[in-house]
Amino acid sequence: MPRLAVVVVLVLLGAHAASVRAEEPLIEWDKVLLRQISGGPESYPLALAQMYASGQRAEAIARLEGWSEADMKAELVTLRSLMRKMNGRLPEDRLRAAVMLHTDRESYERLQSPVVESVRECGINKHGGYARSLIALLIVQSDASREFARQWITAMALSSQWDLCLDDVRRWTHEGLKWFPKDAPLLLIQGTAGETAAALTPEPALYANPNNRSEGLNDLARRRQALSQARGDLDAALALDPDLHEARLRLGRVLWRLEKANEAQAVLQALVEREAEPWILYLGHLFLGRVLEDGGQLPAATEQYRSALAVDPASQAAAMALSEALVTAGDGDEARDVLARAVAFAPRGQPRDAYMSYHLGRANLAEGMLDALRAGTMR
Amino acid sequence: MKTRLALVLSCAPAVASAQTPQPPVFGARVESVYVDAFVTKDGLAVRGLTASDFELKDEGVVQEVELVTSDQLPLVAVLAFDASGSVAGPKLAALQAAGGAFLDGLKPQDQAALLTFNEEVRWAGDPTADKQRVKLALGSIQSRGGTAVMDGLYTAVTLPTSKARSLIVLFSDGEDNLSWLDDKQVKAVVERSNALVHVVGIVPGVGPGPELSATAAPQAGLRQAQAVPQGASNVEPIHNRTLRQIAEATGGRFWPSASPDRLRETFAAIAEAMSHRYVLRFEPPSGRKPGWHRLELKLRGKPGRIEARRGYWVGAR
Repeated sequence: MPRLAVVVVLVLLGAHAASVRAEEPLIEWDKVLLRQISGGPESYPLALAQMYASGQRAEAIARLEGWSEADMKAELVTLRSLMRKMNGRLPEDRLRAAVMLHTDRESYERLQSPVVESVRECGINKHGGYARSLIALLIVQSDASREFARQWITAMALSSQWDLCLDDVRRWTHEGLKWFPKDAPLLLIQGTAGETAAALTPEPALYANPNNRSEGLNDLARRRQALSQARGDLDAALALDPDLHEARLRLGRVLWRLEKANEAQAVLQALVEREAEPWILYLGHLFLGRVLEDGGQLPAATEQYRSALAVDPASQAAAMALSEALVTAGDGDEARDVLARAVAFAPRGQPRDAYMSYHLGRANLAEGMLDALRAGTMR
Repeated sequence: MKTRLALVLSCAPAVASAQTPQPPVFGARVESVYVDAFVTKDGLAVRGLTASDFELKDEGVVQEVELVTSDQLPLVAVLAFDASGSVAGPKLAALQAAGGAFLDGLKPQDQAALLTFNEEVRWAGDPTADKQRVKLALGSIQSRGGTAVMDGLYTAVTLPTSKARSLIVLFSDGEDNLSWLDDKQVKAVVERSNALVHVVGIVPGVGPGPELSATAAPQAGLRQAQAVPQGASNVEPIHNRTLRQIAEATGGRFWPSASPDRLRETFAAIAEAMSHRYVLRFEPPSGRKPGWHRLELKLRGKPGRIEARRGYWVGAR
């Protein structure tokens, strides 16, 4: 951004900060801030966060146009300096608003086509990175801010999962688990990302061509590593929260992908005998059926597929599974009937077949979580 | 348990003169086996062959074959089209136009149906000889969502209830990311079915060139399709390779189209190839064992390349 524009923005910010100060009695924090400022009111840290919190969200986000990493680093240095001088205290409300302000700016700069199969832009850019730096300051302030940070990191991880930016998911979960090492939902999200990464890696068996052998072996190694890590994460999540049924579901699927059929069957069998959410039960039966079918237990697999279809009669995945099992068993007529009923449902709209969104995990919760955090910063 | 034999692949009625073939019979008696053969030389269809020009072996044993005219075996053509988000815009318009042209090339007695797949499979209606109705459905395709190619192909092969043989023309522009069924499951079902599968994909740099005339295009498309090696290639995308292998298992092909605006020519090339195919019929000996039966087909004393299914399945019930 041209230097002139930066100056204009900062002058405007300064003007706004001055107007805010004129309307409100100066709190202790502002007095300290002002004493630190050598370059005039335009250097007032977190002024845009204050604007954001006062309801001028769009304007505040727009005014971040052109902020460089150096600008953010400078503000961070100032904040750390102030924190030291104020015995570790910083204004929590304003810090939270700043986190959400930069989160929103990051989202704005990454706006993408809603087309599902468009290429997704991944990576944590400067505003996301800065928000993460602010979290490090915020998290030590109070239990409430600690909870804010936990929610925010979880939402950011889920948001990355939504875009299938799986490396980003792991960056966020690593960050979160650093602060909250016993957070079962974060472990679940991390395990989901690992499983998804493996599932999206092509089956090594497809590399029959000797020219691609090394590529296939590399993929195989990456896939197994991702699955092993996912298994560890899901085991850990279940150890912390045995009622986290989604973790059990995913663990069963991961074990199946790792070709540990007996363990997968045991985990999934235990799941379908519990009282879980319908979508988890549906997928539990579906996945258990596949384990059984691969093991040559076609009648037992067929029963599981029927159970899955009973939980979600509009499911196409369960219908495909049941139909294919029936064809394999030689019952072409029923296979066709099952399939005909399933495609008659399409397009079903919402809610979607849970299998279709399985790789997204709970990513659909991200926006709601961010909305709640955003609302909490508004005065 | 008493074992009964069922030919569930490439079966059609022994009486070929009927307007509509009878269904495969799941019984103890052995049905006729039909084999579609595409014969080319230097990329061009070889015409005028007779039954005596072919040598067909069933499990290594030479069989007596007869030629059946394609008029005696009307088709059920299922257009199985990718309607995922990546097909939006001009690509979809080109696909719709190509599908319409393909329908125009079918014979009056042939039936057609449309199936689309994105993250879900949608069956627009049972096969019908009313091609205009299928065209209307074609025009209403809306692209969105992910891609469940294998589920779509499985449905296209399994769902038609018509008694005639089915020709599946599948178009997809990308890799499968949402199917429940995997390629091995679908390949097994397709091999056992009575379907002939042709697959069309976008492969930049391959396919009919822009300089071709409309009349030359189909044959050129045929040549280009054959330019894709039978064996695996280290440059061929995995999803194309998988679909090609499935198509070839049925005696069909993978047809590359250089770009969406060449789709019409590619589909015309398929129609052209279908019109020049030879349909061979033989009656396998009774008492066939259930399972896969390997077929070998070659020309007797004539140059040319043959593409045909590599076997048929006898089911046990």
